[in-house]
Order: sequence, then C-alpha cells, then structure tokens
Amino acid sequence: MNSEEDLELRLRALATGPEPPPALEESTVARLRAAGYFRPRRASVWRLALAATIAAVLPLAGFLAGRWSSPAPSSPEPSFALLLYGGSEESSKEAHAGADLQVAWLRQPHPEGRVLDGEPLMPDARILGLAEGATLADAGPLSGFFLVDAADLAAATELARSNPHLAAGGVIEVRPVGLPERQNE
Amino acid sequence: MPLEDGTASADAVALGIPALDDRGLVEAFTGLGAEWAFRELYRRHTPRLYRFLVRLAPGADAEELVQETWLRAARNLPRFRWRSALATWLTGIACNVLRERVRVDVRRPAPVSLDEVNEDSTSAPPATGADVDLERAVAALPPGYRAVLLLHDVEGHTHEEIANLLGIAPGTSKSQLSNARRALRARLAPEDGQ
Repeated sequence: MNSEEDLELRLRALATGPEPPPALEESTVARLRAAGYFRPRRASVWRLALAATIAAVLPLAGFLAGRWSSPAPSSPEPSFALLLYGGSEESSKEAHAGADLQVAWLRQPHPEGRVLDGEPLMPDARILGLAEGATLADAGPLSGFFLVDAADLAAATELARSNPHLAAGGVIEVRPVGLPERQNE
Repeated sequence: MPLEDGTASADAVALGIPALDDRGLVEAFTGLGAEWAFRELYRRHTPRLYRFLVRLAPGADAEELVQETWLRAARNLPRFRWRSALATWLTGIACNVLRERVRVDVRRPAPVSLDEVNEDSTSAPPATGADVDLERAVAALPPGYRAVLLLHDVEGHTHEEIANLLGIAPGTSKSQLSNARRALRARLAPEDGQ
C-alpha cells in the first residue's frame, strides 16, 4: 500500500512524462506565421545579388528574376546594419540585463531614423575570408545587430551612439547595407 | 573598424537568447514579431502543456490543443499583464481550449461514487516512464479530480492559482484534491497488494 509521501513522489515524477512530437513545433510556427504573427524579413541582399548575376548572364531570366527579387523600396532612406561586437563572456545576469536594455532601446522613438529589426546571434560562428593579420579579437565576437533606416552613414552613426551596447563598453560597426552600384563593363 | 565611442571593456553586454527570461522573449515576440523568441517560448513551455493536455483529455488530439493554445496565447500576449507566471497563464488558456474543444469540464463536481469510471479511462495516455499503473489510475479519475490533481501534485500550482485557472473556489480545489488522492489510492490499492 502506498504511503501519502510515496504517492506524492510518484505524482511528481509524472512531470517528466510524454514529450510533444518534434514536428509539432514546426506546425505550430507555421500556423502562427500564416496568421501573421512574425514580421516578414526584408528582401535579402543575397537574393538581389543572385538576380543581378542572372541578369548579367541571361537577359530574360534576369528580367524575371529582377521583378521577383527587387521589390519597390518601402522607404526612401537607405538601410544600415548596426553590428554589435563583444560581450559573450559576461555572466548570464549581465547578458539578461543587457537584452532587456536592447529591447527597450529598439522600441523607443529615434528621431535620427527608424530601427527596423534586431536579432541576437548565437556564439557558434565561422569566419570566412578574413584577411591575414586582421582580427576581431580586440572587440570580441559579433553578438548582435540592428537594421535601421537613416538618411546617410552619418545619421546612422548618430543613431547608433544611443545604443546601450556602447555604454556597456561594446563596439558597434555601422555599414551601409546593399550592393555597390553595377558598373557598365 | 571600431567607432570612437567603442572603448574596450570587459563589461560588454551581449544579447543572449538563453539568458532572456519569459518577459524578454514575450517583448521580442510581440514587439518585433521575432520568430526566434516565439520558438524559445514554445520550447520552454510546450512539454509541460502537452503532458498536461494529454493526461487531462486522454484520447483527444493533444497536438491540435497545443496549437490552439499557442494561437490564442499569441493573440492575447500583448495584453498579458504579468500578474501571474507565464506558465500559469498558458495553463489557463489550455484549460479554456479543453473546455471548448473537447467538452471536458474541469470544473465539473466529481461524482459521489469513486467507482465511476469516465469514458476516457480505458485509453491511458502514452506513458514513456515506468509508472504505467499510476498513469492509468490518473486517467481513470473524473475530470474534476484529475484537473486539480495534475495542477497541484504534478504541475505544482497553489490552490489559489488552481481556483483562478478553473473558476472554482480555493476551498473546492482543496476538497477536490483530497478526494482525488483518496480515489487514486483506492484505484492503486489492488495492484499494490499484488
């Protein structure tokens, strides 16, 4: 016969019972995506590059690909990526507080431009094409980025100055997003 | 490469998904529409929700119930005020989904007779652990007993939380739990005596 304590222990053990099927995550995410809960990503630079390559090789395919890959710009202002370096070694508590600051910064109004998106990045990475002698070690690993709209590089830099990553001692690289204009060769 | 602002420091801050708590993830999901944030929330809370639904409604389509729970949660998360833990709030949504979809009334007063076996008792949930007898005994409990037992003894909710989740009085939750345990012991007794 079970004692009260035995029964409680057996019931507690039920907390590790049947697991949800792995495919359930994808089907649930798909339903939320269909319902419009996830923000769609902007047209990828790499898709534009693919379209440009095809356009150079095959005019008709390039025309079709260009129509497919080059949506009308949603904003007259160019986009910039704010790349946040460093900070992967600190404690979980500090990272947690930093993430809260980042979410707050992202949501606050910015007169210099508009913050479009932001993502943290997992620490696993592969660096390809790094020039010999060059290193990012001084800044630490890339730990996140924001995509912003601003009038020019100077405005985007001013916008980036208010990001809490700088106050925490991190480094931000500001770069124009996109491809160089095609040169007629 | 570094800006003039970027003075080197060991106190740099990173954005780390594992370090975000539920509130941070909900902010990222509702504010940014970030899929990664939703996936992290899903992975944290779905195993518990799934087990709860499988046991509370054996034979029902637990996967559909889980999906419907998350759809409603996504719709209502912007208005969630954090007066309870996110896990508790999600469980409340799951209870509502269950009531509407499967017609399992978790508030239904338990029958007087402890011998009553509800219609689902023959289909025990898929048990991966060794305690198949207990899984079957829990599945055979009336829904009202089963809900309080699972929420209190398995999920660890308080009677106040259970009262809010199920729309019953805290005293009712306590008496339901007492009755549920007694019924469970009665069902397990013959097997234990073997």
